[in-house]
Amino acid sequence: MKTYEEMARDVLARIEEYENERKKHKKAVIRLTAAAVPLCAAAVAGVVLWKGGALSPEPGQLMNNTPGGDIVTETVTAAEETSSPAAATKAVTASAQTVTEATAQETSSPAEEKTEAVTEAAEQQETSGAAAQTAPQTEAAATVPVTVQPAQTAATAASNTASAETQAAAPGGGGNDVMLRPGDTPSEFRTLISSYPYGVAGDMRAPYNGEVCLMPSVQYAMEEYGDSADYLVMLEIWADNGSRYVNGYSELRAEAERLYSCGCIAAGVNTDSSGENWITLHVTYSQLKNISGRDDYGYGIMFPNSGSADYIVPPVINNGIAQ
Amino acid sequence: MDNGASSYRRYRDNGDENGIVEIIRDYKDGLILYLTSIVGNIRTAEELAEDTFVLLGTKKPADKGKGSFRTWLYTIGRNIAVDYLRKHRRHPELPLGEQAELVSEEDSAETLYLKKEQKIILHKAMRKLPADYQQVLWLTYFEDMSNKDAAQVMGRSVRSVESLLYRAKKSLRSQLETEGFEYENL
Repeated sequence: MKTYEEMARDVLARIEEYENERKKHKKAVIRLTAAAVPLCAAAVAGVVLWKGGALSPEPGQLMNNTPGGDIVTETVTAAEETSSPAAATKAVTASAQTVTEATAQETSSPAEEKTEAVTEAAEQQETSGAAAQTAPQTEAAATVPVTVQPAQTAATAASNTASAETQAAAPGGGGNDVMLRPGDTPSEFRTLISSYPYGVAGDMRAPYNGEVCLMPSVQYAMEEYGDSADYLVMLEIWADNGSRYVNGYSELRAEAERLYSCGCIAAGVNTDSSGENWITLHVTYSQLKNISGRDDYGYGIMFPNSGSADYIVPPVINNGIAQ
Repeated sequence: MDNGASSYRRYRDNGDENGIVEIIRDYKDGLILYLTSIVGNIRTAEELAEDTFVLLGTKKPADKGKGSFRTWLYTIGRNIAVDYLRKHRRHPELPLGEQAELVSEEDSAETLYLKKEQKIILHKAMRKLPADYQQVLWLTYFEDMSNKDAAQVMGRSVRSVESLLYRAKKSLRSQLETEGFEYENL
């Protein structure tokens, strides 16, 4: 049998061994925790982003899916011979590839040159009128793209903002830009309503000056979704009490800029392959309800996906007052 | 205050290793003999006693101060012994030579701890009794514990310990008489 000294020595040795083991274990746990915590945090952040809808398609991407909705693919070309009105034409392309190329070219072009060319092209477009718009697309000697893509991610939103500033510096510049104010972020987490399953048959009159008319489909969508969603709508503009359909690009562009300055989330001018222009607006419920029109224009607001059969019909909401 | 309790407190609160050495010195032999009554093997009892002291030194359990330090220590030792028995249900048969060695070790331990001849005779007779009887007799006769403390150590009620003690004494008497001793004279 052990003496008490021997047993005490053994006991103390075992206690020390236990303490050392415990320290080692503690260190291992700390090391493991340090490695696991960032991974867990990243996983949680990923889940939060995914659940929050940050990884779902954005409003800008939805806009591209609208009929004739290659809103952002317009390229203004400036011909070598600027004296001829026909030399300046507006080339409308529908492929995303062109957008990419155009954007790349835009990046490489000096800003002054771009501004000059845009102004020039716009002036020529003014003088050439409708003929120039319907003229066949000509081979452009030099293309100066001024297209800005709609915001697709937070990063591109920032670059769009910068582009919008450049546009503002060149008034009258062409292009169907989606405009964002400095500091604006696209409402990427909100539902965007761009169609509503409601059709209207029958003759409808064009809006008179000062009227802002909502298509029934838009009205029903607003009733159903209210302020819980944003709306992607297209505007048709009429002048002279509904007798003249406003289709000129520059006129629509100016109106889009005015509407944008009134507070819309985004505004743009669309052009389809047949040369038809219209304004597209990305607005909130209250912005849509309170769109302030010009006194010399009448406005028809509808969903881009409604089809051509949908047309403007009373009851009319004009700045919130039903007529 | 119990000396063991103050030694333990010195070790636990101030890290004084002398505290645990003092506890080992004062309680080792009694604990080993008590554990022998449970496991029936002095070597195993010695290992279990060492485990008891190591547990005191590593886990540093708090003595709630309900009874004496010795009662508390024996309770821990008993729990360790019971765990051991649970894990080693089948006791391996020891070779004859080793058994004889164990008996001599037990003899020397009891001679050292008990000192008095009468107590040694009693203890030898006790070793032939069932484990429960051995435990209760050890705690009350040799450790001078009250029935209440013995009950606490053994994890039984006081009434159960009293009844167990009565039967153990009866059994011990007949054992002593078989060996030619008179119970009343011891």
